[in-house]
Amino acid sequence: MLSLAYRVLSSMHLTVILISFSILLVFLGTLDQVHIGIHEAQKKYFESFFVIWKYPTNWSASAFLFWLSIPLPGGFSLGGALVINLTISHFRHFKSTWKNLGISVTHFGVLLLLVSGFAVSFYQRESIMSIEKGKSKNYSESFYDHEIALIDKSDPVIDRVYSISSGSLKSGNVISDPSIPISIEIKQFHPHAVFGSREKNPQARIVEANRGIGTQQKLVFFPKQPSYAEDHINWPTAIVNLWDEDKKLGTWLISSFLDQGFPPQTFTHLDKTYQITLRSQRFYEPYEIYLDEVAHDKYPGTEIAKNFSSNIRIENSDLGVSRKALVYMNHPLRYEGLTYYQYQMIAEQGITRFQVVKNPSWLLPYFSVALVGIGLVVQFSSHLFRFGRRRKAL
Amino acid sequence: MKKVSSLASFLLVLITLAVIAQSLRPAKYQNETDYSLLGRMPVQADGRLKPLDTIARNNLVLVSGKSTYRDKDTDTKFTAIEWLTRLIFDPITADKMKVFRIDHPGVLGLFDWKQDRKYFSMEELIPHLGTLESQQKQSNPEPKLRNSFEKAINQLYQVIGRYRALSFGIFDPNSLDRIETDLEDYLSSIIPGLKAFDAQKLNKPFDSDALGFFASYANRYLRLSHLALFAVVPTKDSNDWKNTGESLLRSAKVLQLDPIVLGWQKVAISYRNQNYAAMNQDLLELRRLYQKRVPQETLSQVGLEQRFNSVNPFMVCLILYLIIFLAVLLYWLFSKEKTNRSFLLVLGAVFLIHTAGLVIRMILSGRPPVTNLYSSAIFVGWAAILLGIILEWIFRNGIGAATAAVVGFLSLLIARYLELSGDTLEMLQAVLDTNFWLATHVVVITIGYSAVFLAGFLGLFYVFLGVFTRRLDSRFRQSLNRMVYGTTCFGLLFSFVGTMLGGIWADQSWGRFWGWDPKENGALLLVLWGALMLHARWGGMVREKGFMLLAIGGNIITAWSWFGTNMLGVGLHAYGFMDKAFIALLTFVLSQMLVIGIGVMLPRNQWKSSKLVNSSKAS
Repeated sequence: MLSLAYRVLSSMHLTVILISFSILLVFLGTLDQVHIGIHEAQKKYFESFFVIWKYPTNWSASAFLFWLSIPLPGGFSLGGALVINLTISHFRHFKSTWKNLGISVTHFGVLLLLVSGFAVSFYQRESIMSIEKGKSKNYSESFYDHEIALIDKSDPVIDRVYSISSGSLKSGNVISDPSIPISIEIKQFHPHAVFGSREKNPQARIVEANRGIGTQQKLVFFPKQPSYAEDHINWPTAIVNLWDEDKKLGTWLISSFLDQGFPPQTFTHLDKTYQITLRSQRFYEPYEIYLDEVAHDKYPGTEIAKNFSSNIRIENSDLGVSRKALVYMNHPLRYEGLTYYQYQMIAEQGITRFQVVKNPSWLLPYFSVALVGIGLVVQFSSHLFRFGRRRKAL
Repeated sequence: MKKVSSLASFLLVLITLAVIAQSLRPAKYQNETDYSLLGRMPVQADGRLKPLDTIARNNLVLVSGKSTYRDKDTDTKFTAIEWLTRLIFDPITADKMKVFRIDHPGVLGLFDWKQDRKYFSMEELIPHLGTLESQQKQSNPEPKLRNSFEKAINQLYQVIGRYRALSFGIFDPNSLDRIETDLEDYLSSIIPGLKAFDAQKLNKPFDSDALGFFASYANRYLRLSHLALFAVVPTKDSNDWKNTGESLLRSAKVLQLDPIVLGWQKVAISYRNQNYAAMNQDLLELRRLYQKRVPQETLSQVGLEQRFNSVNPFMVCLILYLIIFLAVLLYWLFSKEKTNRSFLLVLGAVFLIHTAGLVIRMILSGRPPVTNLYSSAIFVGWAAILLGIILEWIFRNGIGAATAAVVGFLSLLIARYLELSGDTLEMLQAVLDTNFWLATHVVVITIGYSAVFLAGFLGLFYVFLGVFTRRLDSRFRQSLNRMVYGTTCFGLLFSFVGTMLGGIWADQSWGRFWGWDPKENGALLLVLWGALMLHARWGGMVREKGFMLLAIGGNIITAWSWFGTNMLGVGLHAYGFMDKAFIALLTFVLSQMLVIGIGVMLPRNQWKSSKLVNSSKAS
């Protein structure tokens, strides 16, 4: 039994089957990106154990093929199985000879590449930092995740931020912790909602809030299905009760939509001023980045962008560091384990946006790629060499 | 027999030389005008300096789908520069030329036109412009969601706009009939006009005629400066040429006309008077003016582009690759000899032309060979020919030459269709503005495409020769098997390295090695397919025939990652699905599947090639 499992797991048949499934998975995952966007497709197909692909309803012949669905092992399953297959087959098939050197190096590189793939999906964090010219930021914002933030603003210099990350944002959740002075009860949570005016939507449900913006009867909202299509923005929205022990402080309407351009919702409790909001999740850094200058170069006489560049300054008072840096296309800044890439720019308003990436395993692919490349070259040149010798012999 | 073979080789070389000679022959023009001199005049458009000839070709192709125009009634052929010259200097006559290609039945029906011809003139279109505009306004504002009729309407609308703008290329077409005095009249109107203007501002009495006269000019030139698609007047800043409208407006400040504008005025006058000898003199004079103000290096680069356009080396290669392919086929049919050196010789010669074309494009753009889809097609063909030459060098049986010629022919054919979208030396978007990654990642992955295609077409040969002919003997099979194996290994190496270099570029530019973006996934599929083929072979899961069929499958994968992934963004949304390119891709994929199907379903003993073996065994 054990030897059968050993034989199957180390067989090249399994390799070919796994590669075939990978091909199918990558192809169908790419097709689905059109419908659910790259980010969702990545989670659904490539960072999962199992996935079912369904024939898209908006394709031709969907009236006949709507039943067609293909169950597939997800990226994690295939990647894991390939790691096992690759490792065991080396114990079984390969003797460390010079002849096999190329293949062994190649396979070790592929193994490392798969491992780095897993590392990336667990450790990589991407966020966005938007800075206005002449101003500074010490945090970046998540692309997709949101948080409820309770901000203690009583200290004139330093805000104390209590944040509840996206994993806990569910209807019915109560977040209370001795470290948070106020507990938060999420009465309703909607991953996406659109807002409108009472005037135009007289039939809409009354917002159950008795504090903050929600009490203004002019404003109504409608929960919607979230979408991950390109250019679409989801506006997560919640109704929350705030409690101090058993004393209810009130009910607020909070939304990432209201976080943009509406006045902050503040209240006073026990002589302290607090702000409550739902916003893109923030990642704070122990230093400030100032934007000194932005530039958007175009090709002469056209609107085609030639380059975007930002002159920035890092002020790290903890380390006593102050340095300048130029970030432009294909030339990011790497600082303190984070990398800042020129992502977008609104040059007229002097706003630059950096993509901020934290990826502790960023060097792994470089090593694995070099290994695979060298391995393939060694292996195929030895083939070519043997072929040449045989031809001469003929 | 030997004589027949050398005669055939001689013929092939002769035909090749004839095609090359034909392409080098200077173009014939309608009258004695030196249009090649006119075509070499430098202009600035789309962010770069180019010859007027390139403007003419790109726009005639956009309007009519062809780079020359044939007048059916008089059976005369016009080059693009002849057409553009007429449009700029004599638009009323140019409007009679049937250059607009319209083939959507819905659009033809809209104008009450029958579907018996495809080309129409501006004169014919003018009465229908109102209808066209109202239809354009009704169409879906989201371009991705337009149906084929709406797409055709919008395309025609844009093309007409471009044609109109082109007629404003150098002078205002409405003032051409008084061009002889127009500029001087303007110059003399400036001082009285400005005087009147100042007086009016100070509420003093002013000459309203002088002001009106001057203002009408200023308005016209303002319009001209907005509409012009290209700039002809060099300034001290080589990145910022002015169009005639801008230059004439500036004349109000400096109180003199730019000599280059005056030079173009002379050309226009001579052209309109049909005094072609004088026009040639004017052109020479204009050329001298440019030589004074533009560095010689720039001018010779612009001249090189004009000559490159007129020789059109890739078209020459396209024809010759087809000839080589047919020659090899004929040779296989009629000759019993196993080897022939002339294929290698001719293929090598055509390859040199292909290489020259590629190098000239690199000089003109100052970039590595692949910068957009068009140049990738040129390069896929080039690399496939190079690999084919190596195969032919080793095996000398015509297979390498024939396969490379087919891949070269098809990729250049694709390039010809991609050319229809405009300037193929366009400027690059900011993120692509890095010669290092273009030279490494893009070039390597494109060589990967070439190798996989070459292996796939070798597989096609295997099936065709095996099923339909008796050529596929054991020797042929053995060579094919080795060729496909070698090419696949090479293809896997280049696809892998190319894909991973792309990952490194992405890590440098966006901070992630891999983003599961469609184009990246397409490249990954190519790598996975290569790995699958080799493992299936090494593990004994496929034999010779199976390996060949898998190689044909590689064609599908490559076509998908090369073109299919580009169509996803625009194509897969409900309506735009059935684009022409998508249909072409689908046809190609289905044809490959059909061949694979034949290979799988038809047992080897049913193949014509193995019947020979059986019958010879029986006897």
